[in-house]
Amino acid sequence: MPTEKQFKNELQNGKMIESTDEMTDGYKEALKQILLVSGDTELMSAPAYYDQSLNAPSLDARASCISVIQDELGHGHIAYRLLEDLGEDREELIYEREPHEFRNTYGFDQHIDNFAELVTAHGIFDRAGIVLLSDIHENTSYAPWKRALTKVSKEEQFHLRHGETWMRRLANNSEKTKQHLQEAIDWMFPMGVEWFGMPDDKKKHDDQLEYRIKGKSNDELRQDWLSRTLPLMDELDLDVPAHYSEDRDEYVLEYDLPVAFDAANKEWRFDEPISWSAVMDRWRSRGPANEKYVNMVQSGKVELEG
Amino acid sequence: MSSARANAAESVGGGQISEFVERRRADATPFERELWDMIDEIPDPHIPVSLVEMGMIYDVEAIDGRVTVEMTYPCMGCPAYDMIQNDINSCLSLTDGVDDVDVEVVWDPVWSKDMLSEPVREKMRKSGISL
Repeated sequence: MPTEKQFKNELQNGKMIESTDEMTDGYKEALKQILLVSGDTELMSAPAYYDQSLNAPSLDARASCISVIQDELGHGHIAYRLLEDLGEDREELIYEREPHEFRNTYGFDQHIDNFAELVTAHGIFDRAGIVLLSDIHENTSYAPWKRALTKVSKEEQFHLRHGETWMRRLANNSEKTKQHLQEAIDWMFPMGVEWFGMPDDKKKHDDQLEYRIKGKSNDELRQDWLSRTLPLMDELDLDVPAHYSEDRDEYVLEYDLPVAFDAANKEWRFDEPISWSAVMDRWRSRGPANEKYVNMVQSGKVELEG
Repeated sequence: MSSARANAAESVGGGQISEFVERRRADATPFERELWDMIDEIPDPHIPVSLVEMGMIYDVEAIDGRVTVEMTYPCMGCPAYDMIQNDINSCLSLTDGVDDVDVEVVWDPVWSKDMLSEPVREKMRKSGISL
């Protein structure tokens, strides 16, 4: 086995990993960590999307929404299956963890309360998922994950298109539906911004980058997401606290990230900046729908005999 | 038949269509063949092949600028039922010589996996879809 430093160098130079025999312990741990976040995020989007999918305004919309859920369960399955190759137990991961032990993104710990919020989740949360996964698809050193993501990427594109189509319809339908959409964006857009985590200048080192499990840094990914999300916001005439700055040649936020979030009322307190460790604490203590969603997934389990 | 094959080879589908589609495509006029080629550029929203490669397009008929596309779906509850018809509509209605597009959904013959050619199956397998 090479030294950790040599190993990281080889990975930066394009070395691909096929199996656990080729991994160092550090690599394996970093890979498990990101796969768990990915699998949990895919899995928990399913219960998050469920209630409002049954409230879709047409049979066709309902079929699309249900299909999104089915895809997400499949994507979760792929991540857990890969974790199994790394020595984890799928049954235990899904059925034997407590709600607070899930590592999904904080956005899927929130209640999705109406159809406008659901399609905004498809339109901007799934976009965040696409940004993160397409980086991994393109750049990862873990070959089995790269191969599995071909199917995932294609399906996520469908979710995004479904979300954007319905966001357009709601934005152009009536003042009332447009207002619902704006209210969804008001809490979901900053949630998307925060999703990408700590800015690069605050992050001392990043194993996932050094092992080339992913290719882009948090800020690069956040910029990527903003560059695809803001044109849609402009097109639909939705207000968001961010814009493109020609001087800096990048997208800039109009508040000091990170800020406090009032989870009970789904309100960001833009005048109340907090530290990233406070954000991590908020994520770790999980959001208001965490227990409900984990329970929706776990409660259907039946012990079959024989 | 040979000209339809040659035409298909130039498009995204790359001549990877099944015999069933090829038979349907064989008696197309040159203009209808152009329309077939355009539909062969429209991706299936879920699967990394075109609608023509999926064997979902059964016929394309153009009479005096009125285009009728006869198509089917692999399943009745297709999650992209409207989306696919919108794609065909917006793609063809922008074409010179097309005044009106009518998408007709039919269920006879019933779609089956047999309508997929071997190269299309291979594409699907590579992206992780089992057949």
